[in-house]
Amino acid sequence: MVYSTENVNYAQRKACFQYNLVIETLSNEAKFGDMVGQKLKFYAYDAYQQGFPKGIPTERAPPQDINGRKVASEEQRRSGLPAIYIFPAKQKSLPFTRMLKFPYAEDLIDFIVEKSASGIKLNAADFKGLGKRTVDE
Amino acid sequence: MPVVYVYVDFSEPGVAEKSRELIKLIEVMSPEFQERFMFFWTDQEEHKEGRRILGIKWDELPAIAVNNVDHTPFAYPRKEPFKRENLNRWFNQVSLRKAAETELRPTDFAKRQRDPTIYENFLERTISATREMFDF
Repeated sequence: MVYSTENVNYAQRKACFQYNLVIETLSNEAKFGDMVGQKLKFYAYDAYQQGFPKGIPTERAPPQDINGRKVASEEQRRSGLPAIYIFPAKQKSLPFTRMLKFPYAEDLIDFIVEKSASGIKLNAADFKGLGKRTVDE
Repeated sequence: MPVVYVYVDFSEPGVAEKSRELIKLIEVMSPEFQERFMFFWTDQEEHKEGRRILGIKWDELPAIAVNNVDHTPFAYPRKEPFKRENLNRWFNQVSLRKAAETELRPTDFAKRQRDPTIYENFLERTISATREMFDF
């Protein structure tokens, strides 16, 4: 996940929460063994602090938005961050794929299963509703 | 080709004067560097937002940054006067990729980050990635 610490942004914090939720869910060793760490590694990269890395398209930071009023705004839409990319194992370069919708945990797992080439044995249907169980979803 | 962005502001008299002087200076200098950089200036708000990600972490203008093909951030040092000899030296350094550390000290980020706690509150299960991880 590429994010920015420049502003407090409601949608970004929510996306980070969902991303973290996926890691927490898949870190259940009884169910998934050492999948997280061995087959899947989840990184977080602060583009504001470090600049955009080589090969990753430059995007704007999301606007200051503490209460979520800008979630559907043009400013938010144009920002481009946070962004989630999936890279092949042991290689942080092309080819990579960007997730193009809001990363609810359920959808993020779906994305991982669809794009992963390293034998991830997950049934996306088992995670239906994950991250979408709160009142505002 | 790397792009040099000159961010200017004509809305305040003092800043406008500095901005005009800088643009004149860049116009004079640009032929010398035209094979190494493309030069643009802007006073548009929507473009000015983008300067943060190029390493300009302060508000005052004018300011200069370079957008490289590999996104290495190069911002012209905040306290360095916009003089021909300084700019000349800096453009040469940037074209040799020697000035990546320019104005990117951690203390400057700490002052400007509005959401420094997002990692510990929402991303604590992730691996914190660094720029070096992408240098392949």
